[in-house]
Amino acid sequence: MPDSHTSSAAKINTEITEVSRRLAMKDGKLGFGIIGCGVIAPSHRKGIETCEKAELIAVSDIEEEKGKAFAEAAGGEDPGKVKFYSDYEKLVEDPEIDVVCVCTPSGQHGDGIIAAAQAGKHAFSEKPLDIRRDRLTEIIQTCRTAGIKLGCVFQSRTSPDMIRVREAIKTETLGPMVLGDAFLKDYRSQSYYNSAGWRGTWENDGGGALMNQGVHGVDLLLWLINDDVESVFARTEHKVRDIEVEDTAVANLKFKSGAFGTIIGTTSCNPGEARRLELHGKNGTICVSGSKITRWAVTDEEDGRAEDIEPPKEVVAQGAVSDPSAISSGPHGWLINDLVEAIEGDRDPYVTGESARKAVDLILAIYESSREGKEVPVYHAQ
Amino acid sequence: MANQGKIGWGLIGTGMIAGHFRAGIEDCQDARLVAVCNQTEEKGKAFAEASGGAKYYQNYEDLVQDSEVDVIGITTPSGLHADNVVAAAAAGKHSICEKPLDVSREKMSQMIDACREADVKLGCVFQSRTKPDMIKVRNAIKNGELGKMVLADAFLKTYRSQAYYDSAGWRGTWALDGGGALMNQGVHGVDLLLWLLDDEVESVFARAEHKFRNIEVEDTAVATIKFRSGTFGTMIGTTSCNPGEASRTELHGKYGTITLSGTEITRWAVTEEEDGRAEDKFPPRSVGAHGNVGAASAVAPGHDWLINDMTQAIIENREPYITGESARKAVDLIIAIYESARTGKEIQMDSW
Repeated sequence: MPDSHTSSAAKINTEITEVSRRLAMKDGKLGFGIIGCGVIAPSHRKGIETCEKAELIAVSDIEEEKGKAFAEAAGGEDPGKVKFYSDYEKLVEDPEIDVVCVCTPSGQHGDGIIAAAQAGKHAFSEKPLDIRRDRLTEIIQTCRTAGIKLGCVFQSRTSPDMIRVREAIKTETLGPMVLGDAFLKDYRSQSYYNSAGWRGTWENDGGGALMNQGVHGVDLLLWLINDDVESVFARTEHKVRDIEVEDTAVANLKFKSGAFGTIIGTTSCNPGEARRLELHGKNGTICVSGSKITRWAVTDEEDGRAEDIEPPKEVVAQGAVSDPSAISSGPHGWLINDLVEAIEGDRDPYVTGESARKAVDLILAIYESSREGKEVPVYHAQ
Repeated sequence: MANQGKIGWGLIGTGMIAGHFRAGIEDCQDARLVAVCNQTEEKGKAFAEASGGAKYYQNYEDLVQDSEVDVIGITTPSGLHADNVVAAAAAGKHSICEKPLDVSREKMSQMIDACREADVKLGCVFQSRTKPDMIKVRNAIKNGELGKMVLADAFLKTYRSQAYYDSAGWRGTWALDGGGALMNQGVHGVDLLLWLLDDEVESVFARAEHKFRNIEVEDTAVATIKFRSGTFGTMIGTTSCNPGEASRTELHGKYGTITLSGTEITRWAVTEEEDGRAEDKFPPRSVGAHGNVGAASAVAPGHDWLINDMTQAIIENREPYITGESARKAVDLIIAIYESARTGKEIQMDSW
């Protein structure tokens, strides 16, 4: 059935893509804007600075003083170089801006991304992509329809060691998987939660130990094991912190492949442990601490005992970056560089919206299971 | 008390674990080995001969009737423990079982009731509970040093090959092993977690499957636990982690963390300040007395310690260090884990 709406949308897409490419050619640089000048914004600023093809044009923040100070500092020797907007909707309209970095509280990511997409700008969101299922779908659809790139920051995925692990599991070095466990035992004091009003609230954080701190580990587990969770049973509670959201969550997973898994996410482990992921297959085990490989044991023999060996040295090329370890600009720089190349080459960025939402969909299922007191299926988009 | 003023021991089962029992009896000045029993005559007689001329019985029903035997050490397959204990109690003899106590709830109730009615002692071997370091950890949690408990986790990731399961017909069977990775290999870790935390399980949701091994029972189980205090916990028990990890116990409270590798303390971090960050410290040197043994270090931890404790419990007419009621908790939880895995539902321990 002919669909005039779809075909006109496609036409607009093509035009917007063309505009993007034209802009991209101007001075050989893409103009960047940052929405939200809080704790994570400097990582984006530095990432932009280290990328040859990117330039910071403007920033916005609802707190004028904070935003202006950030803009001035970002200008370096020329304090007026980076513009300030108090309204992000104005920022996205700035014709010099091609890409918008969204660094607002998690529950507001969708606002920034959708405004950017509607203005024909590419978007680069801090994790998590957003905190509500419907909003995630809306974000992704809006960006696809507008023909703009949507990337998300999950910096652990840029670690060469983590790329090695994913590749090993993908190529069945460990054989069929038995267990995929993520132990995310972190510490945040009560004074941390008291330090900003939005911390620990459903409205802005969308969750606690898992949605905020643990989301990196949840994303990493799903990405490394390259499998989707079919169903989950979980408990979540705020045990020793006076907050709305959970400070402790435990989840019992079943992956589509049949592998079992555990996620333990807390901000009330005192003093806190290094993040650990433990991946076990029939033919071997890989353990990760932080983003480093701590164990790599495999066997080639049927019914053989795995032996510890050195992990492989080579890293398979990712995105347009042939050697991820060659990038020294930090993970935000890596991902910004990738996004710029994705725009130039008109391909998907390294971390797509579709891929970034998986961790959030799982965390939302964990919250649902905890509320209902029973196992629930995990929602999968498409 | 019979014979030379020493408690007379009989052993049912003469496998590898029976050797630990025998060593414990030999090391205990108030105990002597009187008789052993194995259905396979050759094995049983060889063990008896190597035990300085202990008597040999082919049937345990005969061994428990031996008037020189006061207490029976039981190292038969797990699913036979209750039968052995009930026979011993009927003959007025005390018993101590190798872990697990048994593998069925009804049978555990039967053996505990039989011993209470006969007024004989019933003990069980969970040797981790005898380690001075483990007693320190339990005391620290009991005394509230970690504050309100948040998480109690046991990661029991071991490896057994298919060849291991094929090596003896009863391995990996429901009837004799009563379960797999958890009931057999993991039960020590499950017992240790429950005992250290000194809390009861309120409810559990679990998955259990034999993933890669051709056995009846599970090679992998994952349990999500809620304790009565509200503490959350996770138990991961598997024999299909290749090559296997050291078993780990991780205990987290508001004011601190204690972690173990096996029965070695690997972290002891505490704070006394409200909202303070815990700092790593050395665990305390002193160990509180336990059981009726004043100096915990007087007897080597393990089977020796528990054989001595049972011998003294008989002499002093007190409860053994590990009672039947206490030993059954790990098994009750593991059976609940299997039930949850079968039904796909959370099990409430009280109403189950």
